[in-house]
Amino acid sequence: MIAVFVILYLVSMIAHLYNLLAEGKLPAWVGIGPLVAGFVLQTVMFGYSGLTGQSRGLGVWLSAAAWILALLYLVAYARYREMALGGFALPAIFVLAGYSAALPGAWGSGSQAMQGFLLKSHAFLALLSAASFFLLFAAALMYVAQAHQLKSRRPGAWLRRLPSLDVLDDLNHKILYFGFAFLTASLLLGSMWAQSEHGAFWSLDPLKTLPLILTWLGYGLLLVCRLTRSWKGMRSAFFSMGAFVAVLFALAVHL
Amino acid sequence: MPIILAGVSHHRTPLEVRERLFFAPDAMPEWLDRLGRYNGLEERLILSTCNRVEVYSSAESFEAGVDAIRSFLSEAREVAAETLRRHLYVLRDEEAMRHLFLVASSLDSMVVGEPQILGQVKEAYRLAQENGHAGKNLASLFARAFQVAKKVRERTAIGEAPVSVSSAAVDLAKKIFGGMEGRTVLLLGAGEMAELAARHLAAQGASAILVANRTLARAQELAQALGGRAVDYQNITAELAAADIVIASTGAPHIVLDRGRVASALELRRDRPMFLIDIAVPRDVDPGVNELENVYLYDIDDLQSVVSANLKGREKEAEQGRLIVEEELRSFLRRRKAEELSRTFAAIRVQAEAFRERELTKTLNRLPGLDEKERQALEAMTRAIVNKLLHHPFAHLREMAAEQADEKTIEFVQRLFGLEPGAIELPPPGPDDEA
Repeated sequence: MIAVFVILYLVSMIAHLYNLLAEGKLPAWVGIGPLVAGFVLQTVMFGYSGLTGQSRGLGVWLSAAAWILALLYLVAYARYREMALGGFALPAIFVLAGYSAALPGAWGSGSQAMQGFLLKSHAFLALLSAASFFLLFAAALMYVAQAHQLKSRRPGAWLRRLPSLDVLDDLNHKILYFGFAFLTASLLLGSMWAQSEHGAFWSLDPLKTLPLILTWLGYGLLLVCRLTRSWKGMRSAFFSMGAFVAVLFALAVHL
Repeated sequence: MPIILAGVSHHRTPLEVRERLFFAPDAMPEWLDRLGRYNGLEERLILSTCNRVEVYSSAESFEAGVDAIRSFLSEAREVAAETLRRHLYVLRDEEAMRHLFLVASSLDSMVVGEPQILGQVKEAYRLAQENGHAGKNLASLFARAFQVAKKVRERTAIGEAPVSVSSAAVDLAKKIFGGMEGRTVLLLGAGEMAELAARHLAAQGASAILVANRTLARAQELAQALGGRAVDYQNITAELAAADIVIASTGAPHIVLDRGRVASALELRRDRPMFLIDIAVPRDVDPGVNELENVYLYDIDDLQSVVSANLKGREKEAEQGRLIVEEELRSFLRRRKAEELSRTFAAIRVQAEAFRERELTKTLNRLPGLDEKERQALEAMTRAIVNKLLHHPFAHLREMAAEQADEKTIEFVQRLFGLEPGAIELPPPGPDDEA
């Protein structure tokens, strides 16, 4: 059960951050719907475990913190209809709810089923992020090709086949956002799994972790630069293509 | 009934002749009425554009029809018969249909693939039809022509790439910026072509148009015309940084935008791309600017070469279009022949039935003693004879029609059965007609 609302919070987080960071225009229900569903589920579980007296330990406190944050944000949303706040609230809600699942004390945490769920969703999101970064690489390549066509001043047939630079750059931005969100969520779930499996959030096998850190830092830096320094166009395209090398490394050491 | 086309076009006829033959569209109903007073034309339609004047018609006789059109053109437009003889092309049936299909598909246009011609053909047909000059022959012909034009446009890329300098510039701008919404255009100099391009961009949704010109009055005038704003020619640093698209067309004898100036504007623009269109001669923008990142600089030669590459591309697509026209023409002719053939069958049947009834009545009158059963037997016998006689020729003809029956075969059959060729006017075949 805990797995279900962690996933619901994750979906809601990605939708909120998409609207905030990628200047996306998802309708509100895509973000608010899963949040309300997760919140209701978590409330029911709190009520149940409170009645049966099962809950104790750090895990339950983290879970309670997530619940209160979700409640506050929902109240604020009901009043102001403003999703930007959720862009900050939901990452916290997701992380708190997620780690509560990995810590002893909350319902069913540390169980076999819970570990299986964490590992599977970690792997699934990791693959999703790798696929996103591949698409990002392709979009960047198309950008460079189209820019080259235009720059040559004698554009050929590819000018008509490829979309406009503006569309390609926007595509670059959106895919980057999703890839990075998936990767981050995957790393968090991975560390939750490590906690419940090994009792530590992070195992320091440099060969396995270094490419991951590089990938995360690389795309994170690109996202930050796009957001704060308005990096666009060629620079962003080349950077996305370069960072894909780190993805290949990370895949190579993990598969 | 032959289809006749007589006309002049940009291919072989100079403008001074075409303009004399031009029919203004608002007076078209009167012209059609006047053409209708000439004998020999069953249906008529006048297509009159800057590049062509063509009369489409169906007539009892080809020669009489052509004479009527010639007389009309020379009398209505006061053009010497000799001039007409030299310039007028006259096409019949298949050639006329092919020509119409090519015209409607914009394959016969001066700029192949230009989109206006189909609308003009449709308008010409509408005028003819609404004023009662187009009957079923022209109706089926033009309906098919519109279909063919649509097919050519859908199946080829004939109208896609722009073929004028200003629209090529707009097309490139779209390939850089996607939509024009929210984009800023800066005009350096107030030349005519710059104005045209700016109008294009404004029509596409460009949100701000800034005009800088050496004489401020001209800048203000143009800015007003374009719904933009005049800016100080001497001090355009801020405007340059704000501009997504710059169209330079000053008369200055030297470079107006050097590399340094553009580079510092780019600095302020961060990584947002910039499209510089230099249509001035001598050039206004330092060619080295194109080496800067996120800058796309096109001068007049570059645009011209884009245009000529696009024209070449259209020529290639036109080949494809002509194949489609041929294919469609064959299928249209096949359908027409099948219809003609079934009309012929129906006529033969009606005639045979008339003969049979007449002869049967005569015979029955001569044999008054027959009872009902015997009369019925005679009736059945005559019917059987007619059917048996017609069965083989019909079956054979239908087979031929599927393969290669041409107009001559059909005419021959009509003569064979004593029908007036081309004059068969019967209601369309009913459900119980064998044909």
